[in-house]
Amino acid sequence: MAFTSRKKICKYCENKKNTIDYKDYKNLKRAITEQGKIIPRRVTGTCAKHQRELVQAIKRARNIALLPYSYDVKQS
Amino acid sequence: MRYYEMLFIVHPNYEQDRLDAVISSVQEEITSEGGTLLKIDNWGKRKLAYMINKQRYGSYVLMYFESDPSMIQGLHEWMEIQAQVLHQMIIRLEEKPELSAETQNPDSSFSAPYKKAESRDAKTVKAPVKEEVVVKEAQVEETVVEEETVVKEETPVEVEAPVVEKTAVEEKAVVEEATEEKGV
Repeated sequence: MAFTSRKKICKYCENKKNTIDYKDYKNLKRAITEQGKIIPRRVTGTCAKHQRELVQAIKRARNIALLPYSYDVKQS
Repeated sequence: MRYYEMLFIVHPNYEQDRLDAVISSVQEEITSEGGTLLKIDNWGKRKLAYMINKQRYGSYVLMYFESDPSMIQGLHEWMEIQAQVLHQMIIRLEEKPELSAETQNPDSSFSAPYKKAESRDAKTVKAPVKEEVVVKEAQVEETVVEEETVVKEETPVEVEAPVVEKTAVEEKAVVEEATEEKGV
């Protein structure tokens, strides 16, 4: 069984204090890539419910300029 | 009546009194439309993640209010017209927000002046501690000096040196020398 991956656990289910809020952009930064893309849940292991909340929060934070729509990797 | 949360960015040129004037005008608009303001939270000036209207910085203000859903459209349009407001976002809350007195600012140390002040404080706090260390070391020096006259000539130079760490290293070296010589 060479291709079995370890079981992924949703970070937000595990710790119920981790509320997902668009204002808490520092924690949201963990869920985006270097370029500013949202990391898919097949990579992070976040459950569907929390991924939905996360996506909404990230999009809200982008709207109000707390998070960028994209990082220019060359520039930085 | 529903609970809403509005976060808006004021133009960075509006500071202190003028910023307060903008906030109070928004407040008046909400109350005049029949809403009740629950909380105002001023985050202060911070860097935007991207430029809005050619501005890199903006003052964030968070407001919680309760109002009729029909008034939100009007408030949004009114906010769009305001030249001093760069951007705004109104979010409907499902439950009554927790209105604690403390700020919901995601990072209270983002603004440059505050950060500088903090570092200054840290320096002032650290400085006396270093002095104490120097004093202790000076005592050690004195004990060494009693034993050897050669070290005595070096000690004033070490005290005058501005950087504490260097002196500490030198003193250690001196102490080591002294012990070596003792052994000899």
